[in-house]
Amino acid sequence: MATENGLTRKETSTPAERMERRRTVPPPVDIYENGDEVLVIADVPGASPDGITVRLDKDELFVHARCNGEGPGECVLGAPRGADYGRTFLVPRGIDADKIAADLKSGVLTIHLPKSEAMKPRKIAVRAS
Amino acid sequence: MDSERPTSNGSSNGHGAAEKFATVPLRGRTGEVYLPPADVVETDGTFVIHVELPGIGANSIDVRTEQGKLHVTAERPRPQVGSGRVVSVERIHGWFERSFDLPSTVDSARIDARYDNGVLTLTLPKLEAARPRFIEVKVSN
Repeated sequence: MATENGLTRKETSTPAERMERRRTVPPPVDIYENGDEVLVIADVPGASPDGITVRLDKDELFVHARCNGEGPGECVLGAPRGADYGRTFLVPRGIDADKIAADLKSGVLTIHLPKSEAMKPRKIAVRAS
Repeated sequence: MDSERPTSNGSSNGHGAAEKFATVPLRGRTGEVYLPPADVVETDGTFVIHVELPGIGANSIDVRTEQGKLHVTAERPRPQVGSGRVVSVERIHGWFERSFDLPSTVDSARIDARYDNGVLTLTLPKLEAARPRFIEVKVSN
């Protein structure tokens, strides 16, 4: 970073000038379902736990994982890392929005979408008359 | 110059996160072998290779050097679904393998491997003789 007078970025720049455009790629995702929940599993290598956003808005599930760019150096093979992951899903009714949970382990994001009580399969006892 | 940079002998179209996993024909193993996305960054003193291997424990990744090549192999087992229903599968499971030609300027005895957030980071220090050096210019009067 240049530190000479006049070359440093002025802190008085407008919010629009400080805006950062970031590249986003959709991660590969597996979806599983059992009686209690829908499970969404996404590969997000390079994402850190504090950069994860999972949000359900009406019937849309937004998943975003932020990646830190790499350190100094010139990329000589492949593309520089630093794209974020982002994907949106349409979620069927009957997901308990308050109980959505997500965890990140070794670059794999697992999102648990618990079914509301009304959605869960129920066994109805058949009585003999 | 270019010949002293690590090259992937799997394919030349490594495009980082956006790269699709490419398949290479199997050899001596059951199932397919996949090529994980990788990129190489060069600084004055090192080459740094990032290989995307999400969901694989550090213990399940094998990194070795052999005859001027650096090999990375790892296995990601298929998930246990149990009684659940599979709705869609996009993630790849099975064997991952990628090899790089080591430049002669790399000190292969001091290669460091680290696994963090699903990314394997290999740091390859350059030999002292291959690093750029600053030479002081003296005034002779």
